[in-house]
Amino acid sequence: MSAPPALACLSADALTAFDLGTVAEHELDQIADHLDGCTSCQRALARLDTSADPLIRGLRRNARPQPVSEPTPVPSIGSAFRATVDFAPAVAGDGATVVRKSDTPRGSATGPNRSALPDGVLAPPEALDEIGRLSTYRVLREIGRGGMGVVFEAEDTQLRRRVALKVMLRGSTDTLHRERFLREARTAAALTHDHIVPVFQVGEDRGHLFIAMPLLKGESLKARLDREPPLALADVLRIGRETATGLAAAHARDLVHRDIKPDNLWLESAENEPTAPPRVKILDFGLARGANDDAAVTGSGGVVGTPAYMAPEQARGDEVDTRADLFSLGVLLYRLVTGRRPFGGRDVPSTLLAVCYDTPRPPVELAPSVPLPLSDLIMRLLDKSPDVRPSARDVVTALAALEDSFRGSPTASFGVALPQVDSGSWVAPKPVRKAPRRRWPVALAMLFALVGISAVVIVEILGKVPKAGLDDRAISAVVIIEIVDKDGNKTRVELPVGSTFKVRPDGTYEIVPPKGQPAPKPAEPPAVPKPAEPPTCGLRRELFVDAELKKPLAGAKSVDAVMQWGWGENRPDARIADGAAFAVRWTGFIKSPKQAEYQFRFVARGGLRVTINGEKVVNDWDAATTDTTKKVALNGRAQEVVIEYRSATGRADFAWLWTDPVWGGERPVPTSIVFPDRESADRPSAPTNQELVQPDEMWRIPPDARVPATAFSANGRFVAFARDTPDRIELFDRLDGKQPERLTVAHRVADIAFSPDNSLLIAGGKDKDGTVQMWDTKTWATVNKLVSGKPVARVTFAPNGKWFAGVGEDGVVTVWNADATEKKVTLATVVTHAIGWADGGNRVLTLGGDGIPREWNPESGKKLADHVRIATADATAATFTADGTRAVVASFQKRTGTGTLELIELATGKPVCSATLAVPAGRVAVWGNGRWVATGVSEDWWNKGAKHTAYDALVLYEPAADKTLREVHRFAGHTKWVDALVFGPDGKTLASGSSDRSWRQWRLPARPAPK
Amino acid sequence: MTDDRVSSGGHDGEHTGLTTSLGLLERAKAQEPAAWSRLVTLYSPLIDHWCRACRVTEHEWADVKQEVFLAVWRNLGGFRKEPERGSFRGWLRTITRSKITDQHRKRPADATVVGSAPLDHVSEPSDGSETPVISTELGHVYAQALALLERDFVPATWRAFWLVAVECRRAEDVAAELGLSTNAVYLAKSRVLRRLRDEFGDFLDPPPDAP
Repeated sequence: MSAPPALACLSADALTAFDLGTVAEHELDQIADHLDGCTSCQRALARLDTSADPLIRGLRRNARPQPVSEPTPVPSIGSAFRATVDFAPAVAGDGATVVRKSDTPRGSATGPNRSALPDGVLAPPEALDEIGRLSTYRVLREIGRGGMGVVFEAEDTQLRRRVALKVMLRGSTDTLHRERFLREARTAAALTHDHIVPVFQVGEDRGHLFIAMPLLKGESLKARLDREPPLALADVLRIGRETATGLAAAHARDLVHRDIKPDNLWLESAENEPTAPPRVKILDFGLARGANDDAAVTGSGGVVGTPAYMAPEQARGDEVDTRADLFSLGVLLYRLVTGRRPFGGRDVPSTLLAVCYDTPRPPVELAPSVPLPLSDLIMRLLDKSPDVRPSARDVVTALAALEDSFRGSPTASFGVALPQVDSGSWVAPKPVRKAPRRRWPVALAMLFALVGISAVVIVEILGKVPKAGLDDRAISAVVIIEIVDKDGNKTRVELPVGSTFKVRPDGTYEIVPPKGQPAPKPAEPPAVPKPAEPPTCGLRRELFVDAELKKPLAGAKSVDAVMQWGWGENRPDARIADGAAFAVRWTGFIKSPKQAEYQFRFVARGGLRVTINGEKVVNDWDAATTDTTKKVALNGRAQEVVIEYRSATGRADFAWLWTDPVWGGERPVPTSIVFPDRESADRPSAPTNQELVQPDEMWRIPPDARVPATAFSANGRFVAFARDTPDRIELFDRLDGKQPERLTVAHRVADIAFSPDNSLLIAGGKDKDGTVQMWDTKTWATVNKLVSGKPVARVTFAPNGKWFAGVGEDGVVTVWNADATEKKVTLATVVTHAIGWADGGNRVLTLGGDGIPREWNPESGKKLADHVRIATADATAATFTADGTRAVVASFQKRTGTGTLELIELATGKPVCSATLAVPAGRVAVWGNGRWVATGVSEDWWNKGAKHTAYDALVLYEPAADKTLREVHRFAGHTKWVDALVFGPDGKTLASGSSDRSWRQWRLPARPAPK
Repeated sequence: MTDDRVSSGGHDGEHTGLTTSLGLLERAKAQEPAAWSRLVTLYSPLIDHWCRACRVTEHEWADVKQEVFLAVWRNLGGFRKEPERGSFRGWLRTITRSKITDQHRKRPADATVVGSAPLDHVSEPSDGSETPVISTELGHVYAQALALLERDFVPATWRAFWLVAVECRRAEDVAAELGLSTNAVYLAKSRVLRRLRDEFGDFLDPPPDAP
């Protein structure tokens, strides 16, 4: 900082440059020094006219008359991805810099230029060894800097102790920010815990807020991760437990950290015991601020979190509570045990998208040395739903238990080195496959520990052809290993103590038993059939902008449209342009895990040609639609594949499915279509509700909870379903697939319904009071809560919107006036199978337990008419058509094992058409006047039946000319009984909720209704 | 590669030293979170302005803005500030316009929207000449840039800069008013202007030459 001697007088150019601010910062001081003593230069400067400079001109013309003290806040950004735009400088958590790095030399590159400090942060120095003063601290040197502040090493002049002094550079003028900062810092200061860095003092000096903290020895976890050797499992468990302990203490006071990551965890080495393991101290508690803080939004340097470690609710900008820290802890543990972060992307938005939507692969799949309970714990911490995540207290318990269990086992396993992977990498999401591997991780871990090489390498050897050049490794414990030979055959072998496992360069292996012991025998094969391994493909794609594969499109690069879920229905990018013809050719190979005959189904809107190993499997180039099922024998080796697909619609409606020979059910073969990453200007909008052709699953949401009810809004725009654990109603916009709302309910929901004008959503509760809750669909505010007195089973709105009715679990029907909701009428009926409306909603229709439909006056509750009996005691499910003239009744005789499905005219009591059922239907749904009928299999049957497959769970029927209900399609997918079943109002979709913990929307075939 | 690639901007001193000399555009291109956040703040009011002009309802602004910034984020790497290719603002306008079009398309047929959106409200300037629309647009950017910058200076420095550079006051008068030396006023002006140029120079594209 020593000022050079005053310079010679400045040239006119230099003065102009100075006046216009084009002088470099380091010259600025020199010029200022010179000007200080040179009046002639001052005068020359005063005479300069720089008003022609574009910037000055722009300023004078465009700057507002008065300085704007606050940039316009941008809270309106805060919808789904607030954080994509306002994530704050994560550097503010500069944990790595709070502490003196005694043994790390600090090069000039890391010594920030003090002249870049804003004016007047420090008061002038008063001693030689200091660089300035702040409050009662002698500031000795700057040890770090982040977006939010500067960290100094300082000495408390009163207590004579060294401290780390964190000084906020900005925001001190902002009263709101200041108050909040002080308040949170005070809360943090009140927190004394072994695993949280204490706050000595919070204060303000000449408008600069600061925090004094102890100077700690050691290094940040991040610094530790950046160097060798990788952490041992024991360290991971300890670090995780200590962090969770600190979090638990803070969470007990409702203090949320919001930015748990390796940078913010300090590993303090003990002063006197260099061999003792370092202790975790959580840094910067209470400094990370909320995502809803406008100061953060406007870029004043608030911390919102670090994208890769952020909880989904935090990434979305929702309210954040203590459970967000647990998600971050999960990310941290995942990173520690696998060497990779579970979520990542090429940039912040895609990272946040991954955080919100991707399910990472369980750690144990990536690093088999990870104990399964730890892997499971991490996966629960990473649950998208905060409710599922265990509390910090639970994590402490779980990790401590793991530590204990390992302490009692061979130390080799406990001390196993975890894989060290490029720390910048992340795990590509992959469908989670549950494999019965309970025993393997530990066993393999032991093996790896003993052979002394990293788990990753072993997995590769075991998973593929063993690599050449491996030395013989002595094995000195009993382990079970799974050996996969080059043909894909798996063998499990028990290796006794003292065996030697040899891998030969040609890929074969040999196990040499210890002297005097018999050769190892293959272990018992598992009894449970496993789902078949999917075939894999490696395909190169070419895109053509004509339908005849003649004009290739260059420069296609983004892979946005992975066609895993149906036909790209919910992927707006799975299209090139509306109506533009295009074609795709995939060339490459397909490989099955073993030799087998696979059943493939090719479904496409447009023409299709498929050739596998030279054999034409599909040749339908001129077809408008294609739906072909073929059996193809694959020999376990790569076979050539050429797929050519032609689309005339501009959308990629193509799916390639394979059938699992063990469990049935079709699954998509992972294939993707690449579209050019064009500038957004000509990217077409989200898909509209186009005519749908082939029946198929088009949308699946696995809430991992039972789905007892689902409903469409009358205009078809929204679809909602109720879930349990936690009880919630999830709402989706069908136009863009986004989720505008989720409604929390205090009790289990039995049924939901939208009002015909789409303005209200009602939910009937299973609680003992039978609460019926009502939301305004514009604001999603609860507008009413009614009590029916008994747990509710069904709710329904009258088509005219005047009334709605609830059916109690005892079958008692209560009718409310939709506008004067206090008024209610109870109908003199019990055991109601079905409820509906006739005469546009002016009459309530019930189907009693006696099988007789009755009509009621919803106003008075008086009975108007009895119909002819339409159902017997064998009825399993029934529903009325929307116009109230017909009913659909499913019945089943358990004795004979047969049943019927009938569409019945109420006026005559006679079936219009019918079908026989081989399984009992627990749910029936009908669309229109009987145009579509759907049945869902019931719980009873699933509990007993073992020979049927998931293929029977959901069946679609339509009336046929021969007075039968013709089976149109079986929707494969649900693996358990159907709890909720409803048609979309447009008659093109069907939604179902199932006890397999998924909700699905199905596409109905589009074709003219039969006469 | 560091552990938190996306968040490591300015974490280590090396990076910090680098970023002080780079403009906001370059830093945003380098995916520095703080820079990105500033860029968003800088342009949010302008996008609001365009949305308003295109009759995008207020609750849709957020969506549009998010789409725009996501697109900017994705494509910023390819953006070059070249005279023939136009300004950042022009580029942003193109993106915003297309996103607004998307937004209008997304509306359900039964949604009550008064008329269709007059997208021409957001149009390219016919040439480089100054029009009132552009002036308003630039005004938004200037206002945000200044507001962002103001936080980095102590009030006296800022006030001195403001009075001299924007309100055309004489340095001596300002010095007397604020109780500073004239020199300090000049220094303040020079400092702020330098920061303004360095950080926001790429965005404050003033017209080449106006009468």
